[in-house]
Amino acid sequence: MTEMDKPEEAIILSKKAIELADSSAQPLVISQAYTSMGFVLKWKKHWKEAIPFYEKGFDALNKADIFTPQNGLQRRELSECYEKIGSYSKALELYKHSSMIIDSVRSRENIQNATELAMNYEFEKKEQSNKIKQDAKDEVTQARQMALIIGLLLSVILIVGAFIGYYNKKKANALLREQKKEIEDTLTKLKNTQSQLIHAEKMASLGELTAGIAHEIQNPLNFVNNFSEVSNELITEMVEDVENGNTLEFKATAEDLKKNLDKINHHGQRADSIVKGMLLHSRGTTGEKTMTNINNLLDQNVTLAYHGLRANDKEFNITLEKEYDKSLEKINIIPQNISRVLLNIINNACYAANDKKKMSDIDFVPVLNVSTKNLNSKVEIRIRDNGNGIQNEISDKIFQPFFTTKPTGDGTGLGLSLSYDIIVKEHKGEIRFESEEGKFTEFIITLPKNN
Amino acid sequence: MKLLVVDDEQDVQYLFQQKFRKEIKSGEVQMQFAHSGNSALDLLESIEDRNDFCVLTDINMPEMSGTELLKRIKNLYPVLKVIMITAYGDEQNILLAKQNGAEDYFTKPLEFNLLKSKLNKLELT
Repeated sequence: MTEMDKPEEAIILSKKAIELADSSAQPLVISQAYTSMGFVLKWKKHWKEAIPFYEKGFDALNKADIFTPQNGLQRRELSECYEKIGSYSKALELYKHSSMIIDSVRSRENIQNATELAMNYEFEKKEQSNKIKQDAKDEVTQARQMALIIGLLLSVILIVGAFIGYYNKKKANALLREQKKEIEDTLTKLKNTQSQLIHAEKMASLGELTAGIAHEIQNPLNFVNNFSEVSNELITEMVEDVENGNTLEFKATAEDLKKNLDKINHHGQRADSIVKGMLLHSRGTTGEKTMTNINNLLDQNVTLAYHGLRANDKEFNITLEKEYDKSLEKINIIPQNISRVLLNIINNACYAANDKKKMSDIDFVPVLNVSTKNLNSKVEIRIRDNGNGIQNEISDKIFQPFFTTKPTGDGTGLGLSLSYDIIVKEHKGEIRFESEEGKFTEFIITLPKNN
Repeated sequence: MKLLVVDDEQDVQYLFQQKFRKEIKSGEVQMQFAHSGNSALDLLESIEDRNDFCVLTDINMPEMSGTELLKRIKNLYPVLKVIMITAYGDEQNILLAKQNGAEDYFTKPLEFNLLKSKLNKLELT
């Protein structure tokens, strides 16, 4: 307003302002109102009148101890007023005072600025520190999160792994059960096959005999029939002789009749023996041990084997040598099973001797030698043939199941294996052999008497 | 009638002697026996009137079978008559017997009446 060249209005307004300021009792307001009046008056170059207003304004500030840059400048204006009225010392004092205030204010500002700067610095430092701490915290948090995620992932992997493991185990268990069942089935099949094979082996050796047995039964029956027919005729002749009083003829015919009856009896027994021998082989084993005459059993089987082989091979012939120890008492054995062993070994012996004959010159005479011997607590049975012997390479295999040197179809390879079981396992005896290639084979069976 | 009976069973000889006892007694039948093929051949070789004989042979015999004996006899003495006797009534043996020139084939147990009538038909001296 003053600058607008309206000093009068400025004075009026300043007066109103002083009134208002006084009533407000606010030191800064009071100071501003009075200094404004001072300024207007100074502007109007009323130097002297201006001074009290300036002084009053400063008092208000001094009392309130307020320093502003304006305060310093206003003191300079007052100093100018004093200078104008000629109070130079007062003007100089005020000028100094104003400069001091300005400096002080500036210094305060500087301090304030410095403080602000310092505070800002501290703040930034703190912020930075916080940030670092926060970053560190964040890192820790991140690390924790990462660890948590990894942990979760690991847990998931473990669960999946465990599940796969469980599934695989379940699958493996199922497979195992399946395999176990398969093995059990196979075992059952094997057992069945084994019993079938044992039966087949029995039947095979029996089958080899059947034709021979038929022939051998046919022969004695032939004699029984024919001799009984002749005997009938002889009786008719004898009646005629009696009627004719021909005593000599009667006696001769009676002699013939007696011979015929002996023949019938002999051939009847022969047939009986063959049938019994056959039944011994075909009948199921009862497993019961009975007191048995080994000499008879051996002889029976020699006859069976001999006739069986002769029936199957018309060219077959063998010289039989028998040396039975008469002092041998009956021993407790399972006759069916021992019979199978004997028949088997005798068959093999005949086969070997006959085989050699087929391959060698006509002068070779096959010989089968069977013997028994009474040892103290044992009975020894020897079955020897003069065939080609057993090769050294196979000597440890002959008791193995399915091992055979015979052409396919001629042998099951079970004969000696079963024989071994019967002698060693069932009767606690021994079975072994001695052989020389190209010369002989001898099987030696020993059976304990106390069985 | 001259007969040569070949059989490895010893009792066959006694049976034939019993069955033909009347014919033997009356001199109607002369009978020789051999217990193997080889001894039969030896016997035939040793007798001069061998062609008057009829050979009755078993088939199943050791050393030499009846079939083999038949072959050899027919080879050595083609006019000699041979009758086969066996327990085996199988076709293979019958065929072999016929192929090798046997007069007839009889199976055991022997029907002696049938055998005798066959022998009578052969017009043996």
